[in-house]
Amino acid sequence: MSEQNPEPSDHLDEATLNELEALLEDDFVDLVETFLKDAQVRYDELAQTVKSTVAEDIRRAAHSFKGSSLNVGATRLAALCRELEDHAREGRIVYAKELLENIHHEMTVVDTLFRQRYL
Amino acid sequence: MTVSAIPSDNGTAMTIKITGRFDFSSHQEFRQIYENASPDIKVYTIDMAEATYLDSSALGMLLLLRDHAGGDNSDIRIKNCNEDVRKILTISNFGQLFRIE
Amino acid sequence: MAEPLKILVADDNETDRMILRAIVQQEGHRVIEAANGREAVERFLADSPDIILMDALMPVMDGLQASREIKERAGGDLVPIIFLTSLQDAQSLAECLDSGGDDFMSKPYNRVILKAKIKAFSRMRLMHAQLQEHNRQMLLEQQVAKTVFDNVAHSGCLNLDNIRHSLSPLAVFNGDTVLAERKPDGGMLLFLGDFTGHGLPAAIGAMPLAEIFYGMTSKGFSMEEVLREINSRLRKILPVGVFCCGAMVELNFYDKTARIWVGGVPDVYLVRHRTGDLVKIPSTSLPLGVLDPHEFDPTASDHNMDVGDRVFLWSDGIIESHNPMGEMFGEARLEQLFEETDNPDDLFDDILSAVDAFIGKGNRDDDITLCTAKMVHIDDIGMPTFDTSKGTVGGPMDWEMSLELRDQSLKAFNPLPLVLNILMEVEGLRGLSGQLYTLLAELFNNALDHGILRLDSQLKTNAQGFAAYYLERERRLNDLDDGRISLHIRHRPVGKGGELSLRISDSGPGFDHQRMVSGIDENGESYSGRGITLVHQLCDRFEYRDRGNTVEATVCWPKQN
Repeated sequence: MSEQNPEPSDHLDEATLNELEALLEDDFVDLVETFLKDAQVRYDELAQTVKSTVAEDIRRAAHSFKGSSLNVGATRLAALCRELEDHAREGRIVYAKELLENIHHEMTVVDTLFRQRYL
Repeated sequence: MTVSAIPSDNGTAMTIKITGRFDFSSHQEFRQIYENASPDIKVYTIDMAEATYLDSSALGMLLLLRDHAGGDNSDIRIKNCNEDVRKILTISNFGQLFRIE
Repeated sequence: MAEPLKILVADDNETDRMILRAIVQQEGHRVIEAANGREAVERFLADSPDIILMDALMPVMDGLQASREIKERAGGDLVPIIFLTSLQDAQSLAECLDSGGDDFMSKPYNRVILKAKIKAFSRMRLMHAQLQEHNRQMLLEQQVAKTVFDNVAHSGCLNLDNIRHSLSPLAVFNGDTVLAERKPDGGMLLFLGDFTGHGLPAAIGAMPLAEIFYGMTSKGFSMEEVLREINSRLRKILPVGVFCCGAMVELNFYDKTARIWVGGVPDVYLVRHRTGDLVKIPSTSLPLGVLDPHEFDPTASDHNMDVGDRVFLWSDGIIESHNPMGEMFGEARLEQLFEETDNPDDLFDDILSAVDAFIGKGNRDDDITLCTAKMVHIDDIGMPTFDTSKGTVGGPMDWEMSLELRDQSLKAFNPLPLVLNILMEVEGLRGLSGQLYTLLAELFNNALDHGILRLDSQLKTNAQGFAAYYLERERRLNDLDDGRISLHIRHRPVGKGGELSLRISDSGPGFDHQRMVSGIDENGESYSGRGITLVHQLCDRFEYRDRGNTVEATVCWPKQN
């Protein structure tokens, strides 16, 4: 891990998380676990599409990863997915590999932050 | 369609101008005009210059106006009818009830 | 809190579903979940949710396709679909709505907005359900009303071979009516009416109209009398502004004449079979139900009709039917059909197919109302039979009555329906109602026309003469200030049957009935003495008395056939 002590507010949206916690109460932990599990699946799918270099497939995978990240307040992760989605829509896949690495890194940060805080 | 009213002759006459299709959709509007009209009005003139068509509901409205204006003692004139409108008034023989000019 | 709803959440992302489920449940609603479009359609069919929250992009089947399938299956029911999407571009959002979506919502979900949307759609669903219920109720009521109307209006004699008509099954709710009924003297009345307005208000007047029409026609009242009664009844019961445009035709199959009244519907057409000539009879009266009874004057015109000649009656529906370009069918097109026809018998079908072709397939309005009747020989159409079984056994058997009409009554009153009504109390005479009416009409009219008014029947031998005859008759009737006709009727039981004696006397100087009852024109057709055959068939005794101003006829029943 390149950052040993990431600043939570750079990666997660406090307001969203507080609201979700209030809404879901005891189920909130479930939500976080589900998200982390799901994020791994979505990441693997995304990596697969980047390997295949089909722009449209990359766009779709990035789009849906972005959606689920947004919902749990993982704003930085969502922003990276969105960047990849935008490039893919324009048919530019030269940055895809690099962005995928950034996404992977961000995922580990989010994973760490969530675990520290809620699990 | 639209209905508009212009009073004249010191408020003893009123011209009601019909624009577009004169049919059931104008029922409310037409009724309001004569129901809100002053009781001093003796002569009603329906100006059909801008009326494109009338259906049997419109004939019914004319009868309602006639009834409101005193039935057999009413003085209602219908003017500037185009050919279609005149035809419908002729078929229904409304010339027996209204002065068609 | 509002009634709990069943809400389907279709999203492939489990965290999204969890969040949505929590929001929706917090509002007290029940959640059903689906992880892709295919599942969404299946859950929709199995659980019929009230509202659907649908992710746009999903594996297996995306939300757009699922939305299309669900909307198709939902038919008339309103199932609001709210798309959940992080798509931002206008095109994608438009596609969501095009596929049947009712609204969309962007990720991340805003709880407040989502709750508000669910509430709004729940209200909309309720309104839609109420509307559907009202509509269902209205159709039910219309069905009941139609059944009642059908019972009153039945089909009269519209099924006779010389009549054809086109009338939508629910025409009564467009205000259109077609009625036909035979008269006891063998004639026929035909009526086509078009009430103002639509729906129940238009249908309501049709019931008393039909009742009066059938009741009076079968009792032998004249067309004018039927029209007067319909007008005064409608005037009395309908609100101002609701009335009935119409046309009525009385066909006389003996004289081969038509009496035509037109009030507020387009020209009635009379087509000559032999020449193809067209006579147009324009509207000369105000519609029925507009004028007070004392102001209403049903002016009718008289026309000769040869066998095969036809009359056509219609409402404005045909002329005003529109093609997809908004053009009207119009009178010119209609008239052209009459000019171009090779066979007037095909005109009825020609008109319907021309209107269909004009307005385009499947666009046929329900208010194409059309009716035609053909002049035929009385022998081809036969005498009418009326169901006069009133349930009384025998009826009065031994009685006599006298009725004397003075000049004022002769001008305005037709005693025949009244007299026939009394005769029909005698059960044994009911099967003879048509013939008895004709006999009565023949003798009474001879007494009035020739005895009192002293008209010469020779006048009636041709078309001009016929019109002149009736004009002169009306003039003399108007001027009448002295004259009386008395009817003396006696019935007594004889064996298992009875004997009916009629004596009709007039105050005139007497006339040559020999000529009246055997008048034959140059074609060998009886013109004014149509009753002679009948008189001999029906009467056991028949003679003129005094100075030719009294006639006596005796009818015995049962008849030996």
